[in-house]
Amino acid sequence: MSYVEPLWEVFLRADRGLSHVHVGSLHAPDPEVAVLSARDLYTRRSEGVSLWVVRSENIHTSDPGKRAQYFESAAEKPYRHARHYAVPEGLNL
Amino acid sequence: MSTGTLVPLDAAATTYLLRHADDNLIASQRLCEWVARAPRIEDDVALLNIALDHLGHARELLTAAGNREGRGRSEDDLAYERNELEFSNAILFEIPNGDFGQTIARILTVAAWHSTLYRSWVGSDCVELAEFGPRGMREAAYHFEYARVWAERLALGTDESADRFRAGLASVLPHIGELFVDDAVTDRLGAEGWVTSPSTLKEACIELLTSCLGPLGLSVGPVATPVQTPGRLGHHTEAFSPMLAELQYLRRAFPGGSW
Amino acid sequence: MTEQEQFDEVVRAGRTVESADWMPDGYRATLIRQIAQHAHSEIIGMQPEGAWLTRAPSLRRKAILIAKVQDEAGHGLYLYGAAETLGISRSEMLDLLHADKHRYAMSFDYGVPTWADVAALGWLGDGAAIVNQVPLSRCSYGPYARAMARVCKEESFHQRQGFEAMAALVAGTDAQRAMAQAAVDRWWWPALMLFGPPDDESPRTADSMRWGIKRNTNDELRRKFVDMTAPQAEHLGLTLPDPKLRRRDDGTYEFTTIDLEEFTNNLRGQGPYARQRRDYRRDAHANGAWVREAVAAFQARAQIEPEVA
Repeated sequence: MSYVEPLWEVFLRADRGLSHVHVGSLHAPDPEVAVLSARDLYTRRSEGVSLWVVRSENIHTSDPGKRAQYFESAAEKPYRHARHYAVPEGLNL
Repeated sequence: MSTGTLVPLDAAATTYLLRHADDNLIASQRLCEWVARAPRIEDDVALLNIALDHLGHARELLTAAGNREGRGRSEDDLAYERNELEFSNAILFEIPNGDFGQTIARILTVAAWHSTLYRSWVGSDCVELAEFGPRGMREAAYHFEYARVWAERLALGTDESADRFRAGLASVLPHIGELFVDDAVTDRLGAEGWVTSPSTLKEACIELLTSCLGPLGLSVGPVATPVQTPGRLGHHTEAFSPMLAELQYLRRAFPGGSW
Repeated sequence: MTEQEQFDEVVRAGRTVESADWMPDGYRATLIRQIAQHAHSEIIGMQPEGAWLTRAPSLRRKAILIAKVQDEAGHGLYLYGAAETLGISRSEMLDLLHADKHRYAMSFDYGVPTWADVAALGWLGDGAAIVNQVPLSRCSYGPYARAMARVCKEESFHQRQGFEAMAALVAGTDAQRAMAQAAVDRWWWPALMLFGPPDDESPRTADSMRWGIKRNTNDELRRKFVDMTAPQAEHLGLTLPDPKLRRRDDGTYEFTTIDLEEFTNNLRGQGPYARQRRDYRRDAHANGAWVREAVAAFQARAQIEPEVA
């Protein structure tokens, strides 16, 4: 018998963005932990974001099960990005 | 506590930068030991995030120290080529992780200290500190929030979690006194207006810690100011040596190696 | 149209099946197993590389490795989340892993005894994983495809950092070059095994392709990986431990297929480090139980007490 942490949907807005975009979901026991988790899981490659977390059960949609596209913006840690690495010419890496 | 000798400014700044670099390097090293062992996978992500932040801080401060020192030592030279006596991290950072309760207790304490310390660097005439301050504050604030949320859940969870968290605090808190000791280095930098004396930062740090622990029915307890600062003087605990060996051995095993 | 016809039409048209849609039981069961095992692979995969975080040979390598291992935990979470949309919970999936009823990528049952193995795991292991994963981001099940799209974007640096770490070793001392070659000798076959059994030994492939879960056969992807990787090894000046490896005139490569006996042995959970990886995972879960119980207790209490305005 295990305690199941409820499911939350995560919405992210970049500093220069206009609106919050759905980026995915996560499990957390409560809102405080959910915000911390969302920051860890969905903003590793983003800066200056605003995060919303909403209990999935509180989202009412005409299209259950659909998920919006993922969001990516400028990186603080360049080594996370493939283009940061030198790739010898002609190699399919 | 000052001595009569006037420490040259550059040397004082180098030593000061190195101290806080070492604190962060060792903090990062300890947190890396948690990999793939956290109680929830989400905490694997979170603990490694904090480890990575500390490492980033260490790298920036080590590089700054090496530049100030002017002997051509890089971040890697400083991290991998110094021996125990040359490391100046405070003992708080090197004690073992213990269980998750003790780990959270240490993250909380370190974050309270770093929030206070880095805030005091903002606007410093020492350019490296002024540049580091804002980013350091931001990340320390996040670590504090993470630890605060977990302190609450452990302290107010089950009897077992409350006991373990209390025990963790009891292992960690005796070591914070060392952070607040003034010495010739901090006096020199203080006289220049570059840093706030550690003793002056004590109250704000303890207040921040109490803001989290108080509502949980816990307290920081009396904080004795030690006469000596063992870690700062390179006098480390038994646990330090194997940790340093692990950190350094591979690079030292291949002299002149390329990584 | 019947539900089956509707489903077939969605798959045929290359559209996505979503969690609320009707789907054949076999489709659901296959996906649950595949996605869960993919998630388990990320979590188990943190172990061999994670062990080197404290020993990384430069601060930059340390940072890169922490970021990589952190990504892997995150990928595990995305994938468990995708599997959950099919009606299985994370704790059920973990129970299956801990009971040795679910598997994970067998490459992690091999050892990472030196730093060069960390580099090889990144270059070859993640290289193979990416070749597998890119087509999965076009699979018919929406939540899995979208999780894979995110994973692929993040994973591209995992392979490049491995290649770069290898390149640094071969540009180093003789001892480093020897270490690099020894690691490649150990990791080539486990990387090839990531693509699964040869097509003629893979009874499940036909269904998976018909359902749009798999877009290419195991051997197609394995060939693609060899064709991409052999020139990379040549560039690094490292040999791959396959005496039959030979470049054809058209640029593709001839190579020896995987050892089916070793593959089957691994499938049975008898790879060199299988026991160790699983025990470590079980212990970590057991040791964390008191924390998870505290979370549950705190949450229960919070629900009973009224919210403070």
